[in-house]
Amino acid sequence: MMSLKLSEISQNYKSGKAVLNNITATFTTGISVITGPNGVGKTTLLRMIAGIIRPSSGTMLWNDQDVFTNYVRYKDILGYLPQELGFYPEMTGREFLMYMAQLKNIPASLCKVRIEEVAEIFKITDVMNYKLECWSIGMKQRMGLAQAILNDPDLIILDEPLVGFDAEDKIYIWHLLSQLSKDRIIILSSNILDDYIQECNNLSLLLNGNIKFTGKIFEFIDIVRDKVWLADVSYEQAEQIKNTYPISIFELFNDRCKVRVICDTAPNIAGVRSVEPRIEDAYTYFVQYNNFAKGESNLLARDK
Amino acid sequence: MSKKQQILNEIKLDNHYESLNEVFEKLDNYQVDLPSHEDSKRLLLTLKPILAANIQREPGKIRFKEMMEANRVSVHKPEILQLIRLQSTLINKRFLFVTSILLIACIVLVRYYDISTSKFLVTLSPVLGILTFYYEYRAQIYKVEEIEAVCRYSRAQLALARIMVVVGYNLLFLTCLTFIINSSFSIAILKLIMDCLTPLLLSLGIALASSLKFGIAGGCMTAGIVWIIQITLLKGDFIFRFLLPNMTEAANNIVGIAFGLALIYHSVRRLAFR
Repeated sequence: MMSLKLSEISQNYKSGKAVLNNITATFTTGISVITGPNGVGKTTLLRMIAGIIRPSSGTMLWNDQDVFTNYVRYKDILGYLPQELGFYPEMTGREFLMYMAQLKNIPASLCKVRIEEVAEIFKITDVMNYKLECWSIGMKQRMGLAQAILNDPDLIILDEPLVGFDAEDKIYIWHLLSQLSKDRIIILSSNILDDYIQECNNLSLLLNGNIKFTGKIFEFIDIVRDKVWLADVSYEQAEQIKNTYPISIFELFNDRCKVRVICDTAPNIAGVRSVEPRIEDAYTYFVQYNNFAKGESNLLARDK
Repeated sequence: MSKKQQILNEIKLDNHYESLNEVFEKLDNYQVDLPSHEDSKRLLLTLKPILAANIQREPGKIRFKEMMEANRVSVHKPEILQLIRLQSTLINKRFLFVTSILLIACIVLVRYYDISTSKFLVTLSPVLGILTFYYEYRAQIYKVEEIEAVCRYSRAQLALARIMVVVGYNLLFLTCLTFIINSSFSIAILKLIMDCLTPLLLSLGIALASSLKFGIAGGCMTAGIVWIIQITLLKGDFIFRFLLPNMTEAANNIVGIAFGLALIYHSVRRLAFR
């Protein structure tokens, strides 16, 4: 079984400040999602896995072999979509994929067949003869994904792959990634926990350069079981609650608000009731709850 | 029941045994020499990519990476040479156009203003270097650097290949320039090229540009009208000599070429965006 093991990986700025701090994780076949707020180091981690930047310390093992001892071999099994993606604007889609195919060392006899195949998969065949400068953002993102799987990699690293797609396209792309993940490792980052993300095989939550959680989605959600409370209150009350407790959802209906409060015990709100936890609740618990608990509000402690 | 009869029974032709017997006999007597090892090898090499491509079309049967391995041919060419060929495709038409204009301008400056060739080339080379230098950073400018970096070649190899392409191009450019300026035939060749090239490019440019507005036939007609004006009203003289009578012949040619190329460039660009 294929595996990518990160062992105590750290990355520091030139100033010495840590971007990533002793990251240890194992990725196996399937889709692994790395999530977390902006600026926590998701992109740095993905760039490191892709080998674009080398870790300051720690080891990365692909099938139990150090990645950097045979980096060229590692690159052969790698597909990567960066967050900031660009193209040579004067090239057509077909020319660009041909250029990438040659850079990826795909045998010349197979280049054309493969290019047509990936274009078909990502539904860009009709625009392949247009210059890339004329392509829409969504189409460019498709092209980015197409180049990432051009060499049929075993390890696919995608930084925010669903940005730029509409809801329908997102579902299509996710379905496609699910198909590919049957015999490949797909690691993707996302700071939006859409419904389909819940279908991933593994979720890692990155906070302040550390992995705070890694495991199955149900395990992630289970952490906040009996800690999620729903309150139906006025807008003014909701604003007060927002400043007092970590809340995962704030829905406004006319003059009433539904708020989902994360709290260890029942909060001091009239009519509040315990509800089934969702992925957003668990995310809020990790991202906001600790800040609140550290002293942004004393109410958590007072409730206890 | 013989094997042959069994086959005929299966294909329901058992009544034709007699008539087919002759065919069977011919087949039995047909002798073929066994192919040599080299022949077999050659056949396999020919069939491999075709079979691989056909297998790929049946989804789910085989992964593309396995086909890649099966089709991998060991290339003895150094990696850097393969990369140079690949990177040279990044020199685009716009860039070639600008440097060609520069080349012509340089020749004209040296020829008509009697500037020392060696001094001129020495002064020009750094300018050319600066102009072409941005190719080194092309991937970075267009944010392609990261996806290139995760491909097989290292960043250093890519940078080296680009430098070699740029330097090679500059050398070619300066060699052409030196040759044309110093060649004893240069004036005659240059005049010939200029005299022919100017009206050709100009008429093509006019035809293309007007075709954007009036269609293909309209474009041809407009260029035709300009040509008729040239041979009747101007008595075969070049149109720019009429419009700019105070300029020298060479300067007129340069303006004509530049105008023609500008029209072609504009038209092709508009056509590409349609």
